Amino acid sequence: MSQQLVNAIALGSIYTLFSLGLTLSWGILNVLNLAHGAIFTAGTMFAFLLTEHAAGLPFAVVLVAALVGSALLAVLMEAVAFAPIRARSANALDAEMRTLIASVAVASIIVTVVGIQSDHQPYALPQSLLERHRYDLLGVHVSNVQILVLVAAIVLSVLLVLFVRRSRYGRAMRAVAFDRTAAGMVGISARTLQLAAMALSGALAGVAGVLLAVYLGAADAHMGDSFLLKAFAIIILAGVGSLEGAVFFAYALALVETLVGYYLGGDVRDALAFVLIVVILVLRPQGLAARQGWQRA
Amino acid sequence: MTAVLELRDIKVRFGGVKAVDGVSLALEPGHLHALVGPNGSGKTTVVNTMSRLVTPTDGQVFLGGQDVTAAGPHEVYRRGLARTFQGIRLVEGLTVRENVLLGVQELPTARSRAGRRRAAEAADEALERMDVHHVAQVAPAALPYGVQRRVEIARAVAGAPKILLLDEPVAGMSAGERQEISAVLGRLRDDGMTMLLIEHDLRFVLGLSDHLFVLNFGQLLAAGDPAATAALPAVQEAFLGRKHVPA
Amino acid sequence: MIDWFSGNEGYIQGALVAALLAASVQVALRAGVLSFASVGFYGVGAYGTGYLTATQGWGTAPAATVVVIITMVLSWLLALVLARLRALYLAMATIAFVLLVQIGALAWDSVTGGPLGLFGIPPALGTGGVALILAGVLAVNALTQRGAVGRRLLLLRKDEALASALGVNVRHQHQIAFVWSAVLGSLAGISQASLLTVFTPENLGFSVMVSALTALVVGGTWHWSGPLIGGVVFSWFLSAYLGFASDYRGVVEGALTVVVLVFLPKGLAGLFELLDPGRLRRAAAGPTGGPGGVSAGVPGGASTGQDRPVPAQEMGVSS
Repeated sequence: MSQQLVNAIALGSIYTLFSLGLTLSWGILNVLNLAHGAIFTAGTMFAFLLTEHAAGLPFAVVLVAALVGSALLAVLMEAVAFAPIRARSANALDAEMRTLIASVAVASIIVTVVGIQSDHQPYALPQSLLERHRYDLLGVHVSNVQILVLVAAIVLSVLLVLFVRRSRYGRAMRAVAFDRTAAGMVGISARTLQLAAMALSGALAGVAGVLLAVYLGAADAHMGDSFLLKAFAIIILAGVGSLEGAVFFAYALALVETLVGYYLGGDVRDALAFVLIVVILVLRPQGLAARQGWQRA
Repeated sequence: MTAVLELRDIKVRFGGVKAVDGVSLALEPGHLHALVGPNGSGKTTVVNTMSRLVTPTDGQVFLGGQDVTAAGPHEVYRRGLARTFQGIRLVEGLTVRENVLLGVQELPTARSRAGRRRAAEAADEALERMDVHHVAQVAPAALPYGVQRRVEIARAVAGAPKILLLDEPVAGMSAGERQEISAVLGRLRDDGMTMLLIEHDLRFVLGLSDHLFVLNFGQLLAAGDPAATAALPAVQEAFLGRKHVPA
Repeated sequence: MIDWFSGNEGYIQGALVAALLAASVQVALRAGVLSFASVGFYGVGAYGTGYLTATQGWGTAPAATVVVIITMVLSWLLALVLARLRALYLAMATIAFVLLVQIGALAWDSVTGGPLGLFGIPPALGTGGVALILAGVLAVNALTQRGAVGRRLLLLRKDEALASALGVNVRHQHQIAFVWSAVLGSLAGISQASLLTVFTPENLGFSVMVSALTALVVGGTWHWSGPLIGGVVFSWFLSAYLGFASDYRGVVEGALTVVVLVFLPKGLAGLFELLDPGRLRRAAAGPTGGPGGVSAGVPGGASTGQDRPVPAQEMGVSS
């Protein structure tokens, strides 16, 4: 059982990195970005191609390259699809729906390309990229990869929270999440802010993807799908835009899923995130839907 | 004589903020009432409470003597309470006439075939009454601001409401447009329409209204004859005096 | 002609079902309800019909009738449960519902046949029957796009607060749209089960939702013909003529969708507008301009001028 907990912590760390990126784009751009899972997958493909064509690169370089590649991909998506669509939408509902569908379309492109690139087979990052070690801690096996995943999640979460709390960009992001016209007050254009949010979001997805690929030993074109919906459950539990909440609920969900899977079986575990989404949305809509306060009109 | 609309000790809190703090007032038939107050005094919240877009924390709303505190906004509309909003709220994609039809088509009287025909006639009459019938087939966005406002008022009066609430109808308008709307409201008053005009500019309502309510910090500061009420030192101070720090 | 039809019948059937499913999402959206729940009811319709006919031996007509009634009851209850959710929150909850239906289909062996699905469903409807259902649905949608109902729907999706202040019972209208959407989804499922004669959990879930949305948006979200156009383009033309490049299908579909989203906000149906601008301008009333509704979540006084597709040369004095 304690072995299961170690696995839950590693899983929670991946959930954390994945969800933080998604909650940024929802909170700041008001887009339900269904391509986030595809960008996560693209991160693993960047890493894979790099290790194929430039064997022997240190892991840190591969990780950073995948991070940059995913960030650029997310920025490209924002610049080519989301921003023009928002600019031509008649109202909020129209913009939300059309960016959501655009994100699905972009995901379809990315997943198809990754699928062709990998011949629709799982692909593995080379063992030499990161030598595995196992440690015995109080009778539980812990691998260096699990520790790396945990440390990466903690460090990146803390950096992101500090960035959003302390930096000018972060303050502008919070201002925009609260009031969509407020970015200008902090002296940063909404345009810059949206691109920055998407870059951060994509970078986090890329890092999460590479770490998961290293952790599991392999990746495939559709690996992002299941994470996407779990991340939505986490964001809804935490409240859209709440970074600290996303971190907490990422670990909580991983833990509960692990326990449920252990005691009740895989079917129940797989349904858990979706049931949580519906139940939480129904029971606590006032807290979650606070931005829809048209009574203030 | 029963009041058309009455508020009894209305309190509205948003989170910890008291937007309206114990307002009671009655609107008498055939009068043009004005509700004035500095920005942030709670005027719009009062209107939203009357039209049931905001549910009061405490207190009651009566429409035609009936308690409508628990009714929805669509119900009070169907019972004869019409309103306009501070910003222009015309529906894009519909013509001027179609926008005015929106003002009659949801009324209980418009359910039958004959009712629908009478409703359409009422809409056309309202278009003429507000002198916008010549732009009936035009997209409203193409029209000047003052004309758009008259279309909105046409939509509000087309269903022959018992009371019309106007939330700052001249906000952001030029002097000419203010004159135009002022004339429209004067005509409606002369026709016997019961109205409540919300405005932050005391001077605009003085020649127009026949009953004045002054709101400040969510409470009624004074009420009565417009000229006399406006001359009260407390009212003068609220509008012209030094800035208050809201509690 | 007959050769041509038999060679294309599979694609035509696919297009008909895709159009029904796209229409089911459309009738929710056009009332301002961002719900994908109808894709879940597509599963309810397909499995319900499959179970009653193939397993219980009912006729298709009574089975379909009972399934539609069950759909109405279930969707009404779901509408009550989800009544307070809006926009992306409602979208998210209904996506979860769609996935739960798929998980339920996998787990509820005794009714759904589990991962293997149901087979031996009688092909009672046929291409003609499904085409009739679709024609009926599109006729209703076309009629309700105009007149008082059309105006009410436009008002609902453009400005809920204004709608309620003009006598529209917003919650009730949303529930009606939700149930009507579910019924159309269920009809699509009934049709699909009858056409394929088999139905498995593979025919459900996220990818089905994505196809329905894509077909709708590319076809035209705000015009009654949009679902039909989208269904024909994706499930017929692209499937029939892109077969050789099926590996790249995801890329072609995705790119086409993005291009249409960016350059044709009204979808392919919007192209007709170029031929007949006057009639469609009022009827479809989709977006053509304006700086995106990023602040329209709070329709306050400042929203003037944001929500208006005015051709530049018509721009008179505005706020």
